[in-house]
Amino acid sequence: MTLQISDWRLLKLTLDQVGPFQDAIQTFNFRGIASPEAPDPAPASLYMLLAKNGHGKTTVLESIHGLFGLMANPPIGRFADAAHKGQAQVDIRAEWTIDGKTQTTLLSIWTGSQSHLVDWTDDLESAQAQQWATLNLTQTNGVISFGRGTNDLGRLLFEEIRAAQGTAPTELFGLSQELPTVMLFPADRRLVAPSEYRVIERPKGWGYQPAQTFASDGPVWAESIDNLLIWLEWLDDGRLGELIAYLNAEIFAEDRKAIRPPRRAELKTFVATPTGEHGLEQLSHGERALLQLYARTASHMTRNTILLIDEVDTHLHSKWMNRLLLALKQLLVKNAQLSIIFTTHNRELMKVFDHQAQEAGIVKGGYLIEDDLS
Amino acid sequence: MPDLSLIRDTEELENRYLDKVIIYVEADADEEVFRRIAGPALAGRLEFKTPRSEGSGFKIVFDRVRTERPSNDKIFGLVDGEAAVTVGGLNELLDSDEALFNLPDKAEVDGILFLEAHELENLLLMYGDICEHICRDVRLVDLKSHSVEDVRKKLSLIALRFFGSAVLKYSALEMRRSGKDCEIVPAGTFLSRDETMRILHEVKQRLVQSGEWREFRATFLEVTKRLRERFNRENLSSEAKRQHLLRLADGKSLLNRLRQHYNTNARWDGYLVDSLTKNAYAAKFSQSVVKHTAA
Repeated sequence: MTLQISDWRLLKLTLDQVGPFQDAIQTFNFRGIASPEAPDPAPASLYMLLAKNGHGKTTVLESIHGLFGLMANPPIGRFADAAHKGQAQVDIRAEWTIDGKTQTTLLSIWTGSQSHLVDWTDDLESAQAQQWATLNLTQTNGVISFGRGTNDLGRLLFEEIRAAQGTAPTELFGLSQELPTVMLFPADRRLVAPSEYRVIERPKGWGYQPAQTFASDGPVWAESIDNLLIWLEWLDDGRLGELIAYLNAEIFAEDRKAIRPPRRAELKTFVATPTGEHGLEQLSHGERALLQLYARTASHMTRNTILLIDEVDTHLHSKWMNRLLLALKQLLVKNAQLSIIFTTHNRELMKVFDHQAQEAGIVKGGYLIEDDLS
Repeated sequence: MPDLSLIRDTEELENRYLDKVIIYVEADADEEVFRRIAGPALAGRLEFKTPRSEGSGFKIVFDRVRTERPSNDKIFGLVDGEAAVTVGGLNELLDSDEALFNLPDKAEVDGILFLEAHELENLLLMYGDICEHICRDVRLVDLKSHSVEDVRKKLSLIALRFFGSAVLKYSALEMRRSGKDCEIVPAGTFLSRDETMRILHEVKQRLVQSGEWREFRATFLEVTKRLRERFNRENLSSEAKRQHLLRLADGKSLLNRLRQHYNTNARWDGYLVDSLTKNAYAAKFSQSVVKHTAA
C-alpha cells in the first residue's frame, strides 16, 4: 500500500497528568476564532498560546512534539523518557490517499493509556472525517510497541514514517517530502560557534524525521547552521542560493548586511556588513535566533508541517518581532498545509497578532491558560 | 481556560493575561496622574488604563468595566466623584471620607470606584499646594504682589461660587434620574458674582416656566442641608469645611478661573501633580485602591 497525505490539520491535544496539568484532563482545541458569522471555524493555521510562567505552555508544545517523536527511530521527545508520567493524545485531520483512494482521516496518536483519552467512534462527523486512524504508542526500554486500540490505518502511517526516516530532502520549504513532521523550537535557540573541527559531512537530522528539535545550535559541528550551509554548498543544486536569498531578505534586508556563500577553503560562512565581515557566531542574539528559525524551517519542513515556537519573541527587538510575525504569515500563505503554534509573553505581540482581525490566507486561533494549576 | 474566541479584543486579552488589577480611567492624562499618585510600589500589581473606545468620560469606563468584569474580577474603573450622582450616589459623594468610594448596592456600577472629589482637578486644588505655587509663579518684580494668605482667601471665595455651580449640577442630575429633562448649566459660565447671579436668575425663570422649580429648589436645599448636617455632626473646623467645599466644587472651572485671575498662561498642572504625589493624600489614595481592589 502507498500512503499520500495532504491538508494536514491539528485539531486537538488532550493531556492528563502531564506537566502542570495534574488535576483534571486538559483539552486544547486548535480551531480558529469563532464568531457569530463562523460558529464552527476551520482549524487554526496560526495559533497563539499564552500563559504565565509554569502554567504549561511549553508542556503543550513538547507534548505535540513528543507524540510524533514516538514514531522516530530511536524515539525522541518527552514521552520517550521512561520516567514520563501521564497520558496524552493528539488528533489531526488530513486527506489520506491509499492506493489512489482519498478519504478524510482523523488520526489519533496517544500514549500512557490503555485506551484513547478522546473517543471519536460516534463523533467522526463533528471532525468532518470519514475514517479514524488510531495509534497507541508505548515505549519500553527505548522500544516502541503498538498498544491496545491501534488499528491498521495507524500502523500504516507508523510504518511509512519509519521507512521514510532519514530520506534526504531535495528541495527547500518541504516541496520534496510530504510525510508529516513537527518542528520544535525551544525558547533557547542561540547559535554558538562550532568548537569541533570543520568537515564536509551530512548535518545531523538532515533526512526526514517525524519530530525535530532545534534548540541552541552548536558547538557540535554536525548540529550547526555553518554545517548546514556548507552541506548545501557541496550539494550545489541551487538550494544554497535560494536559502541565502531568503535569509538575507527576511533578516538583513534593512540592515545593510548579507550572508555570503560559505568559503570552501575555510568551511565557514561569513556575513558582510558595512564595517567588514564576520562569522555567524558574531551576529547578535536576535539575528542568530532568527537565522536558526528561518534556516531550519526552510531546510527541514515537509509539505505537512507543524511548527512549534516557544517564546517566539526571545532576543527580538520589537521591530524584528513584528517582521518575524509577518514572515510567518507569509510562510503560511505560501504553504497552506503548514500550521504554526507559538507562545509569547510579549504584550505588543499579543496586540499585533490581533486575534479577532481576519487576514487572508490565515486562520488565527489561540488559547490563554489561566486556571490555577497544582 | 478560555479559547481566544471568547475574548472580544486585544485589550481584554492583555488584561486577562497580565493577571493584574486593571483600573480604567476616563482619559490618558488621568492615567498618568493616578499612576504617579499610586507610586511605583503598586506598579507591579496594578495598571491604570484608558479604554480604547470611541468617546470619552465616565460612560466609556462604565461600559468597559461592564464588558470585561464578568470574566475578570480584577477589572475596575475609577471615575470622577460627580459620576456617582448619575447613578444615585449623591449621598455617598457628600459623605465620603476615603480617597475612593464605591456603590456596592448598585449592580450597574459593580467594580466602579469614585473619587471622593468632584473631579481630578479638585485633588490638585486640595492637596497640590496651589496657593504657594501661585505666589511663586511670578516675575522678580512681582514677588510681593500677593501672599499665600491672599491667595487662600481668593481661592475660598471662588470655590464657594463653583461649589454652588456643582450643587446646581447635582440637583439637575438628581432631577434627571427621576425622569425630568432638567437643564445642566455649564459651570464655566460662572465667571463673576454678577454673572453668576444673572445666570441663576435665568435658570430659575426657565424652571418656573417648565414647572420644575419647586422640585429643583427642594433638591438643591436638600443637598446643602445634608452637607451642613455633616459639618455640624462632625463639628468641623472652618478649614475642614473649606476643604469640603474645594472637594465638591466644580474643580476644572475653579482652576481655570484661578488661572484667569492670576496668570492666564500659567501651566501649573505638572507642579500641582508633583506636590500631590508628595502629599499624605498619595498614601491615602494608595491604601484606598488596595482596599477596594485587593491589588
